[in-house]
Amino acid sequence: MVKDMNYINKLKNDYKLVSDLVIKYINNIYIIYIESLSNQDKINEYILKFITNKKIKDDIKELIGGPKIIDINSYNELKDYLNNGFAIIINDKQIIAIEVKLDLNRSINIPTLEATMYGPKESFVENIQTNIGLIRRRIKSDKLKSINSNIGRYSNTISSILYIDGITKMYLINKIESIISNIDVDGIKDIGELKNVLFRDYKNIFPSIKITERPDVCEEQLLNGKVVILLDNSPYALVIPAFFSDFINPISDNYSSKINTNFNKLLRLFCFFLSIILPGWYIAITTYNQETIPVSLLISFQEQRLKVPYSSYIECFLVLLTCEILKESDIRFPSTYGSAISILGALVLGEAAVSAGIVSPIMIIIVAFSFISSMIFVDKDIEDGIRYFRFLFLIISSLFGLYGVFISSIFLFVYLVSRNTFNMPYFYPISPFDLTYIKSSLFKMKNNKRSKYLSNNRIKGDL
Amino acid sequence: MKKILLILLVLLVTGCSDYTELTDLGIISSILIDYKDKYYVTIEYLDKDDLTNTVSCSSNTISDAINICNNNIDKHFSYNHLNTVFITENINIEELVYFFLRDPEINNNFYLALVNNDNIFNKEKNIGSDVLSILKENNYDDFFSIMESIVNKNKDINIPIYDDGIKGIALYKDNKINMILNKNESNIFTLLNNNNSINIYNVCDDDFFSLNINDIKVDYIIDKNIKVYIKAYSSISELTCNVDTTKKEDIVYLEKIASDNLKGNITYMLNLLSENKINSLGINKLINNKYKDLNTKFYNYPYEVDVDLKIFKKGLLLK
Repeated sequence: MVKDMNYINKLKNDYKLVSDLVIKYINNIYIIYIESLSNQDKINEYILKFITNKKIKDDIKELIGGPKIIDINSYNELKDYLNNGFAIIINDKQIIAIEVKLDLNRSINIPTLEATMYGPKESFVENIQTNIGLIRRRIKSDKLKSINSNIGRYSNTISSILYIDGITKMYLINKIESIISNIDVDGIKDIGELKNVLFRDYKNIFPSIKITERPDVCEEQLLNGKVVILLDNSPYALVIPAFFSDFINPISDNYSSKINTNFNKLLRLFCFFLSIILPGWYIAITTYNQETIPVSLLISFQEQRLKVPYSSYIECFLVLLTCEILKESDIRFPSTYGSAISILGALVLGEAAVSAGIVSPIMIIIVAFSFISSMIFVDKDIEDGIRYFRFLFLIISSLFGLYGVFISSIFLFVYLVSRNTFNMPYFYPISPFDLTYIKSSLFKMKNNKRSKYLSNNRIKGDL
Repeated sequence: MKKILLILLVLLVTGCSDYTELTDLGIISSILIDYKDKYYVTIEYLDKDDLTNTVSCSSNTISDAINICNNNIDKHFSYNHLNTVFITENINIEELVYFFLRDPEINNNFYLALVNNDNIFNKEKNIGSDVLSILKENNYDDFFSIMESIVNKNKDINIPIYDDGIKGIALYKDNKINMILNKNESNIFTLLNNNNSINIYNVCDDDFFSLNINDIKVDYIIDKNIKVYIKAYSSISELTCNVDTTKKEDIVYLEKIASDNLKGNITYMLNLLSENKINSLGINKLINNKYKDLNTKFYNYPYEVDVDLKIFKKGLLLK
């Protein structure tokens, strides 16, 4: 009893200003729970209904009908369970924890960022167990391993490293595990933060870790030999490693016919470069290399620009900047206000700016084309990378014309092929060239092999 | 930091060397060059609303004259879309070619045309572009071919004569005008020189028929004599002769008439070139290649013309 009283006093002391801690004393039994984490119905059903009965047995566990009843051996254990939505029951002889957790999870929704026309319509939720369940439901094998660990001194957020034993290379798992175990932060709010901690190469403009909200993407990547990391309270998963080719190939490609998909894949690759090069290329050909434009078009461009007082590159810079501001405000603004931004954008950019002679219509077409091309990509990080190079191309080509476009293109390619992600080349499978992975990433072709970089178990179907 | 400063310095110091805004650009469509004790240059450049403007100036050299013209307007001349250069007969063609060859800003895909007066421009029309279309359509030699002929000295050049339409061809010998071909002679000449399609008019009995030669191949076979072998495919465009084109023998009859007519025209043209010793068809080079003798000329050789003309489109016939 003395020990019990000590625990009660300690709890009262530790949770002094925690208003939702409830301590009840009924028939010589203490019932302790945190109101905001507990389901009142479950407390009534599992605990109060029996404890109010005067004939209490020696072993309270026999009385209580909860699905998960655990014996508590230490004060720290008691606090852990209390913080995780358990009710603690203390009497003269026993201290037990009964799960009365309030269901704070939302139901599984359809994917919003990676929406597809065909294919599964489910996305991850904030509960890590549900998320692991969503993946395990797809890979019903004991080879799917999950290593759990807690991150954060105070938050103690559960993270789970998922991989398929026999496919994924062990050095990759060990490396990720060691990075995660060395993370020393107060708390980790979302998987995006974990991504930044995992990949500290700040010079890399394009993302090296893929974030996904779809369990089917995780399934595909796990079967290819990649590692998936889940974090509690985050409705996304990290896929490690991610190559450049992974960002231009959404999962929906797997659910449509090969020929049409391959066309789309090529289109996306083309759009990636088009989106970067187009504004710079336009500046180059209109201010330096006019010989490349047919004369009728040149006259049309000339007439459109007659009213504009700025140089072409300043005009282009202004329009690009306005579009970036519009895009950013569109993302941040609540969706109910979204239409206001669209109307403002369309009116200000489409009509008023041209009528006022601030920009020429052709410049709006060029910038809009460049923006639309970049919007093919779902990942915001890759769009940001495109934006960085778009401005670089613009600056260099406004200084050197087509020669500048050529120099910038060399820089872009050298940059892409020289990046690494977890000791693997980022521009893989183009450089170094690997037909096996090209068949399953850049194109959709018949392929029964895994990439040599990702797995030693090369032949598919051999789990 | 030093690296970034160095890169910035290199970019800012070396960049923008030939930056020109579109609105500052004077797109030249054609240039007319005349010489009377000094060079007179008229430049036709594009203006807004499909109009053209001209600016004239004169100086002792062509480049100086063009520079003066450029200084007289508020635009920077762009030669990238130059269509046609008009010259008068006073211009030394060799000097002109070397001028255009030296200037890196000027593209070499324009056409040359000979004019008799310098009053050819019209504000409402883009004369340079119009003449270019005509010359291109009729397979005349462009400036690059003329330049090649002059530099390599492998054949005498020819330049079409423009006077509100193509009125003939001036044949040069040693870079000076030697003779002028009229419209009909020009057709035969371009057929031999540029494999250009033409329309030939033939007489059968008291009536006539007209053939459109769609595809022609001219071969010069150098042996003891020069054999000019012409293979042509044609279609009937007009027919008033009393023949039945569904019958093979009647078509053969028409083919023979047309072949003889074409052969006569070609022989006449070859005689003309031979008499004036003009190597406009470049036959001298073929002979030199064959016999490795630079002194041998085509007009010393007998020649023979063989025409194989076929009618492959007989036209839509109503019985």
